[in-house]
Amino acid sequence: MPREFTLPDLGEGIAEAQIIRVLVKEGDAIAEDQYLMEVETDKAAVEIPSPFAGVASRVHVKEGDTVNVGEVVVTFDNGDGSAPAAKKPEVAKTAAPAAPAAAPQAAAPVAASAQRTKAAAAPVVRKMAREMGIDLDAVTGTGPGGRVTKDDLTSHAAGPAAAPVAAAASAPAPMPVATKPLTEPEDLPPGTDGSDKWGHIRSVPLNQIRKTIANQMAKAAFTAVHVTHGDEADITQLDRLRRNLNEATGGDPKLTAMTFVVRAVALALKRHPAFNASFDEQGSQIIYKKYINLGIAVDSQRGLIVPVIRDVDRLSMRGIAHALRHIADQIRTNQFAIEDLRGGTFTITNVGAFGGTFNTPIINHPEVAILGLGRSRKVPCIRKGQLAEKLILPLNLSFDHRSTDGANAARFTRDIMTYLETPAMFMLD
Amino acid sequence: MPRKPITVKPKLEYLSILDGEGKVDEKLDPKLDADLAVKIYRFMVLARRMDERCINMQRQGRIGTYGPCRGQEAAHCAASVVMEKEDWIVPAFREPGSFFMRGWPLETILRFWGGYEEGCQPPEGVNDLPIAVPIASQTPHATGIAWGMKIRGAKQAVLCYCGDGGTSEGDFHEGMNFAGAFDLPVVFFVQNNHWAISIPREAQTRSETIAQKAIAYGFDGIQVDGNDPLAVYVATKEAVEKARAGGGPTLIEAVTYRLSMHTTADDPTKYRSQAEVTKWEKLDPIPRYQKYLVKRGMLDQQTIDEIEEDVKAEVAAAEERYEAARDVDPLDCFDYMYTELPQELVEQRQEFAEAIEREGHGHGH
Repeated sequence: MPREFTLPDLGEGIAEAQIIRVLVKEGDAIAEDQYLMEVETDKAAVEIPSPFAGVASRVHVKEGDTVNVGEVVVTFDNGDGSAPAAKKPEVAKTAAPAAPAAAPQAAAPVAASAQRTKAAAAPVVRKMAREMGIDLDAVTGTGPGGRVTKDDLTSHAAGPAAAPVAAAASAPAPMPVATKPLTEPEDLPPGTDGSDKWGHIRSVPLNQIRKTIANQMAKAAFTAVHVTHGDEADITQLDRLRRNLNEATGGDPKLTAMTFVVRAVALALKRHPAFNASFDEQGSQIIYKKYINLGIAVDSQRGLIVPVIRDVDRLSMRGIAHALRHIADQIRTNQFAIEDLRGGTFTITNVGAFGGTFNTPIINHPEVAILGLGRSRKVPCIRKGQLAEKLILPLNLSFDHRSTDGANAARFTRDIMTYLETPAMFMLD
Repeated sequence: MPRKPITVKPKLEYLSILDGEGKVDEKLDPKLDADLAVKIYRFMVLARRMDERCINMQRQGRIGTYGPCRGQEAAHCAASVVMEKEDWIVPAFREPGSFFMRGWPLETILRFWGGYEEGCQPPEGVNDLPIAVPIASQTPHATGIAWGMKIRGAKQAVLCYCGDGGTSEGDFHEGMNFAGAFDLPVVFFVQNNHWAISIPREAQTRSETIAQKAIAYGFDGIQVDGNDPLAVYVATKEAVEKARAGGGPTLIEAVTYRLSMHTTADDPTKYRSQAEVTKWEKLDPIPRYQKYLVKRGMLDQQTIDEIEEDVKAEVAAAEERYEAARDVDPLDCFDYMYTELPQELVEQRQEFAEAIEREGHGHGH
């Protein structure tokens, strides 16, 4: 007799989990308590030990799948050679399979009601549904994981009116899709293959870090009033100084332009507290931070993360170089603790490392400003009527116009530039 | 009308007998007899292995949320072992070894975490309250029981557990004040494991120690190394004997560390550093106590292995008994509170029965 292992509720009231890694293959002999897979819920990433010993006759999930609690993840054979009984149909994934025939709005309810046995909804929504005499299972959930929300009930009560049905009716006939795409992009993450009316597609569910980035960015973009102030710092002198210093110290620790930018920003922030603050909309107040914790946006294997250098204004140039080095090491080994990513008051993003001069960085909520660096390059400049070659570093400061104004942003940027352009200034502070 | 410092009578002490390496302070060593010393060790190992089993069982969907005790075995096993049969223990939820040494079958504790109310039923003749997850609800209960003892003139004591987070609750202070005011035979035992879910001990209270909170209520406080079974034993023994002799309450703060998650529903890497955990792993109570016992000649490798095997078999047998008794009627939960069910509960029972009918057993939650 085959035995099925269904995804348990791994936290308290967890509805679904995402499969991070599958640690067993079909046909593997599994010992009791051997780890089957690593999954991530919205509370924690955990490894799941096997409740049975036996042969994994069927592994129903793959990396990247989002699986509902109660779905079969692995079927076990008891190991006596008896074939597993009739295979279960493919478990329903929450990632809705692309419906080729109709607009997604129209397809979703059909697919959802066929798959779902019991609608997910908060108690208050269940109560409201009872009061409204609505069968929750008949409502299309638009909340996370297909949860039915209050709005869903309201729109359901308004009748299956025009919108979705009409959309379905008026949806153009699908384009004939070639059986094999002519071009296949390389290295797509795992997901569900399908097609839309223009061609083949793959739907890839968001992983946890992508979701977090998406939420943070949306929150910042739709609350803060972004203005980006741009300027260019002449770092010719600074670059010479930096090279000399590295030569003198043997490059231990190695000073980069970033080392100096961090120091300049830290010093300038002390004089411009409006940029080392957060905007408290609910409390109708601006919260000025009496500490300066600089976030450094970096590209990691897992996506964008922002490790924080604490009390950066108290660090020497050497200390900053060490801190930056430490961050680089953490990124390389993919090992950083969550507390390393918290408590930032201002962020620097060095997109210039990858190229480009002008950028409009999104503020790292709930901070109020972010400095984006462009790529430094040599440009011809006129100095005292003479043509000169100068090394120019583009600076792009995005700030929240709710909490401060453009003139202040220009002054703040100017202050940063004073250090970068006349590096002897560093000796004063 | 002078201004001068006030001196208070209650005293505040710190006690550590066995260091992190298992080296003992000869002058302070209570020189336990071998049976007792090894008994404490055995229950610490049993608590550890059962703990590991429970985490796996939760991940397999066989029990519900579980609160692990890893790292805190010395703190509770060496305290509860002091209690006599007629004494009472009022536990919180991170003291599995305490239940086991008082004779609770292992499967009963599994039943508690599995959501079965039978998991709250103490064996006949055992003076323990069941697991109580609420924070610091234990202190008023323990104080009440101790008051009963005093009224009856019984020469007994109560051991009451809670955590560092519990000390911020009103209940904690009400229980402490009442116990002090009425001079009751109760020992408040706070397992300070440094983390109240994600709130660190430093953020919990401005007090330098938790033990000093006793002074405000007029009795002694003692802070012990909670990963040192000898210190825990000595402090608890003295406090319990004082309580039995009419000396009133004591507050013991056992400084320990939760090496695992708060419960299986959270991810400690999100709020604390691995460096901190690694530091405390080096102070794990089991290896250091084992070293001491081996040095004292009370334990050898063969006995260590035997204990591991015994414990493993005991846990496996309990797991089997737990699995064998899981098919209970969920409707039982309505049956034991009222002689006659109030109308509202009659309706709930009906609704629940219909839900089970509709959705089948076992997936009710």
